[in-house]
Amino acid sequence: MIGSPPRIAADSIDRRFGGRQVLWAAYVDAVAGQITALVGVSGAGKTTLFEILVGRLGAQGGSIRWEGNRVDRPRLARLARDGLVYWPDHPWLSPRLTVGQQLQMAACAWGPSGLPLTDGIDATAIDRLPHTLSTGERRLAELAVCAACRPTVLVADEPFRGLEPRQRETVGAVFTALARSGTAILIADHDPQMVLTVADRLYSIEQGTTRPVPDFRTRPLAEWYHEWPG
Amino acid sequence: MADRAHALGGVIARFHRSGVTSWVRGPHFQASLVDFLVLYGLLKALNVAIAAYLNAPPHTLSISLFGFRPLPETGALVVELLVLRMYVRRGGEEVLLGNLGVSATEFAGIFTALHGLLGAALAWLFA
Repeated sequence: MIGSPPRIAADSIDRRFGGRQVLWAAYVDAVAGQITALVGVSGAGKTTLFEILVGRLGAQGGSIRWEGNRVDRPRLARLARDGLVYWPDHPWLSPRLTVGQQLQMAACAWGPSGLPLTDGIDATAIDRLPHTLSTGERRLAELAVCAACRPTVLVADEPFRGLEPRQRETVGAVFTALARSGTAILIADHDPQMVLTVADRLYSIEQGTTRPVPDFRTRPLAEWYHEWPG
Repeated sequence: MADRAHALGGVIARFHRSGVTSWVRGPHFQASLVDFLVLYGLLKALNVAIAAYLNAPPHTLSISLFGFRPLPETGALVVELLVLRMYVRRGGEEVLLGNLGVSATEFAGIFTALHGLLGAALAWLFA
């Protein structure tokens, strides 16, 4: 898969909030069958870049490309029809419906998933409302709904945050399984161990500017821990 | 004729792929529909209360309750859509709907159509 064209890319993205420039010609992409990670300190612009990539936020400059074609007015619903699924860092499942109902909705919308929907979720969580779950349980339920949507691109913002070690491993295993089935995965996270374990490609973002880190696999983990952004 | 049928088929296929059809059959839409019907009833009741407060004659009350008058209907629809949107935003459900392929425009479109149908049905029943 190395050298494959990106399935989705945010190219030369500029974004200001008031007078403050948050992103400067930022670039990030996701390639089929690979896990791409974006790392940077809090406030570096990771979430803003992801929100622009999935069409939830506008940009003052730059473009979003899907399979190489420019998307004129990107919107999450439109991108979702092409297979993109967004997993934000804030709660997003409906507080009015049980986890099981939301899994069913996703499966009905996009057809049965190749992955077991309830993988990693406590069986008792299925019949509960999302806000009654612990952070870790809720995050795993969100991931199960994402997987049920049969993503061709999964954009996950801080997927390992607030999880116990066993839950982090479950998330990593689901990402790896999805990537093996051809899904392009893009994550932003602060957890160096998990990011370096699962990532095939790495971008760093500093003060709104991204750069690829091609040699991250060749560097010892201890060195990374020392220099890890955030 | 065949071209028209083909074009219509394309529109239906696009609509089906949009995720709206499966959303409409699902529990989230049912929950939103209950909210919508409660709002619809409340706004009709408010309409009657305002007419009574203004000492409007009975037939005016009847018209304002069951008639289909563009201006009040549009006003009620705007309020309904704003409140439904507030419910969705408060629950953080925009991402869920987006991931299901349902845009804000489609969400509003479905309830606009429902409002129109309900208003027209009531106007016809009580004409």
